[in-house]
Amino acid sequence: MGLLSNWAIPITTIINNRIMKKQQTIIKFLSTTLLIICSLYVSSQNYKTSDTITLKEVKIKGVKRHKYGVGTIIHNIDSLSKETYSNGNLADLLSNTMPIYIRKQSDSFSTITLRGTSANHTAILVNGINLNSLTLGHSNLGNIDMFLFDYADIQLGSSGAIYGTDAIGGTINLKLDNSLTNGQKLFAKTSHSSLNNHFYGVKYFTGNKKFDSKTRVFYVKNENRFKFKNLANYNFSKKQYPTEYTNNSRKENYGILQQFLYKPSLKNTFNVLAWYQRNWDQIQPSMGNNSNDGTYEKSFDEYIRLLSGYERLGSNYKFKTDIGYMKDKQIHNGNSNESISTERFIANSSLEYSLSTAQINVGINYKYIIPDVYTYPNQLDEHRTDVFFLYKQDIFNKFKYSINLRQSFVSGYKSPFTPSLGLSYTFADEDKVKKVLSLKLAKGYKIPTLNQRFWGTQGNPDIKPEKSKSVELGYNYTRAIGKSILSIILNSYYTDVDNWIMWVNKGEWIPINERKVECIGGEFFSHLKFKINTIEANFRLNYFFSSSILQESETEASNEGKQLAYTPRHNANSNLALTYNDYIFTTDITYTGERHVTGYNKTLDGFYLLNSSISKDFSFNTFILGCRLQVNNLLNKDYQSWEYYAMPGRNYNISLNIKIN
Amino acid sequence: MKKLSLIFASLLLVIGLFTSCEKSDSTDEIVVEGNAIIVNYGGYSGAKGEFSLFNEIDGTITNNYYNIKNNRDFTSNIQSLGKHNGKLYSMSNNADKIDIIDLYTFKQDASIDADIVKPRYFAAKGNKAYVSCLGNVSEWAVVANSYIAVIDLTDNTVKKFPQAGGFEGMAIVGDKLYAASYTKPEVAVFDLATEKFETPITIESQARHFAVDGDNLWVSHVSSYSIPVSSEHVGITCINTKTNTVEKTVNIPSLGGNGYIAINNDGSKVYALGNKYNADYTTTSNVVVVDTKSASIENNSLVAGGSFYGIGYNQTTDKLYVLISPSTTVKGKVQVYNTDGTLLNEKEAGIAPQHVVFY
Repeated sequence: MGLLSNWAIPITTIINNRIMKKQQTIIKFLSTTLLIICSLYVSSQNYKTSDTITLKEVKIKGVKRHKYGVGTIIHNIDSLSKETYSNGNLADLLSNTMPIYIRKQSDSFSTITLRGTSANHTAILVNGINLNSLTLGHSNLGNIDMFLFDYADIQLGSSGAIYGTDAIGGTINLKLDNSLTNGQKLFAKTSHSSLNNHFYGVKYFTGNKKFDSKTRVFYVKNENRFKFKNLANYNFSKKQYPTEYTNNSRKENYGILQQFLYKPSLKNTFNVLAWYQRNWDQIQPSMGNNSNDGTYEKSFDEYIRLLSGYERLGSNYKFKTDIGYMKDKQIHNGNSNESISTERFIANSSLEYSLSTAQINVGINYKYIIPDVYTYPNQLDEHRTDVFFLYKQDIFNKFKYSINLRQSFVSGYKSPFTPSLGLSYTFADEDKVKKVLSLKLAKGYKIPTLNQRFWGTQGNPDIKPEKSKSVELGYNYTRAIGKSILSIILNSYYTDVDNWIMWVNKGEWIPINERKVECIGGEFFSHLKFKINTIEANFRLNYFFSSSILQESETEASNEGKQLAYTPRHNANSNLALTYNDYIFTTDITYTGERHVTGYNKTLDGFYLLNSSISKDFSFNTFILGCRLQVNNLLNKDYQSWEYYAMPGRNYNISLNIKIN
Repeated sequence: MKKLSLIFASLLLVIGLFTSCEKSDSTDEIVVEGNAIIVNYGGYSGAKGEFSLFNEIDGTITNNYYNIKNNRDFTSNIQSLGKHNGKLYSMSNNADKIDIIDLYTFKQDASIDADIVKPRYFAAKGNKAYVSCLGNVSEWAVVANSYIAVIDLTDNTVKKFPQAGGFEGMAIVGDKLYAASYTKPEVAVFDLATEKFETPITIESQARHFAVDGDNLWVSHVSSYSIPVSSEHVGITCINTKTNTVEKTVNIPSLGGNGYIAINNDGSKVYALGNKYNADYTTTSNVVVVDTKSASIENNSLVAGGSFYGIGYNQTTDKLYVLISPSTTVKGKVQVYNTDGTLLNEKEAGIAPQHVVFY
């Protein structure tokens, strides 16, 4: 009895703790949801009190969604922001235009944290190709040059059933213009900054009603040189921290992306995409090693991506198929004996069928992967096949739902079945107002990286895939007020990520399914488009709250109950763009909240950044000349995105572009 | 008289104040007895390494000790720590420098960075210190640019003595410096007087660390990822430093790749960190006890657990220290054991604790 009671006490305590944890989780999610309901109520109140305003000329289009992602909101990066940062990379674009935390070295390695998950949990797609490294599991956003892409959007939350592996925290879609060019278009841009960074890019589109060629070429040479106070290099004789210039922070990237489209008839389209890119980066040292040339590192990356496809459009169906070849190669510190490369052969097919109120999309994605990594076993290869079923129905234009299913098959490896369900109800859809309530339940997953399974003696072929379950509640409110349009989006979410893989020391450093993490958060987006006399204005105010708590971990037990490192709870941004005649003035303010550093010894302070730009287009007979002056970090804030990595103070960028149509 | 009394009282007050200031200063010094400094290697980014002050008598630990005493972060990974003539010498390998810290106040007042690249371990005698440096490494199986740095401690100037292959642990016995060869199955011998390398001593696999027992020098030798050898060649070997010849070898198949060892006060036992690989891709860490007299394993698992990362033996108190590091993102632990394997104390340390120095 005594023995039983001795056991019973800890078991009861564990059960009580678990119940308490669940209760806390429910309370957090409900309180975030309650906030949304309150906001919904407030916005309804506003609507009622201003009911007398009517304006027929402004038609509300509502929020864009993925066709099968009912309950998921797609946030398009607007064309102005896209153009402002087109000479930069994806890290610059996202960190300046969205309340998303990008952990950055100044112009070098940058990773994304979406909805409190890791960089490995965000899929980054270009025309459906996942750019994430098969060996490392994530992408360096600092080397995804935005000049190559025509559109960008972000889908927050798990969408594994639609996009496959990696889409746990969210998905970034970088897209190319697939329309036919009528005649010729030339766009050339160059920009130069006070950091001694230089950019040159040319886009040339030509075509007729059947044939189209789009060529995009860019060249980046960044010195990324700026002064900073070196807080890791205390001078004992002078008893002060020295001011130094950044060293070993250069970058030289170039790439070409060529698209061909051939459309012999309205129903048939053939397309070819060929993309070559070469990145050479010096890896920015931490402050402590800024003057220590023995520790300087560099990285060389080379990518070849070829994709060829055919699309047939019938009266009520669309058939797509494509095949492709991709090669990613990386050499660290010039040591070609230890190169890391992967080759992928891919084949995809899908058939979309439209019924009166519904659409079905069934398809198959196949990859044959051949890694060539110096620590992997010889003659390693892998087959991956995904089959998916996507279904969406629209009932009376009010109620929509989607059911999406995906099963991934990996040779010699078990991967999970991934479903999702989305519901939305439009309870006001008039010329001046649109209100939509949505709910989404989704699973996501990540197939472990090749390194995690095959690296030397440490890789674990039996490691389980990371997986997530999430529920998301959203409310969209869009209305016209005079000639102005106001749109507000409120989301709350709960995501449970299990089998989160970490490298831990078990005598050797090995990857294990270590963490269970609970992510609860809320997102607020607002956009007001208005006009004052001849000035057109766009104002955006966005805020993300992200609680990402370690729930269970054997090796990190002391961190249980804590917010994950480098995951700020609060992020916000505001953007104002004013257009007057041919002048455009923009200002962006971003706020990144405080973050725990790895090891939880301290927190990094939150910081505000203010960027501003002014541009003008000069129109001539045959071309338009655009000029832009941009000031980044206008307030000259001293801040760290990543502990002890220097970031630039106030800096200037001037750019010129020519458009010929 | 009253004035005199007032002046006298004021004098007493001033003296009292000065005395109390002196006391305040003296409390800034570390009480030496029972103290150990735990070296936390640190994570790969951010503030990186740190030190923890552990007191064996009252069982307390003070983490972030460098920051507390110096009011700034350390900002380098720390491979090891040497102690000599009232100073601590930190092998700040990631920052390519040696940081010099006062043993008693723990305040840093100097560092040596000229001609120091990837410092690993430290040994000293008189006014000379010897540091094994890997140099810039492009291939870990070759380590072409390694050297021993000889430091004149009177002015902290450095002389380099290159020899390819890499050096790890160091020990001084008599007038010879012994350096563990990182890539070769041998122990390098360096004459302190002539400052020349002598004929190396061949052992069964690549060397790592030393434990000194009078004229007997125990060296651990391991298998590594870059240079794998069969487990029958992994273990510890005793070198007679009078003749510089191998006397005996103990095979320890489970000895970890770092080859960490420690020796007790009378030299009768060597403690080594071992790892046992399980079928389910997990690993169990062990402390293996070797009886030096019989040259045999006395206990294959005096202490068992996971993620053992360093070992130390306090020869003053006969206590065994095991340092535990689950990952480079979480804090590790220090555990103190009796020689019979009884756990006496466990405290949270910094990130990746791997070395301990006793006061």
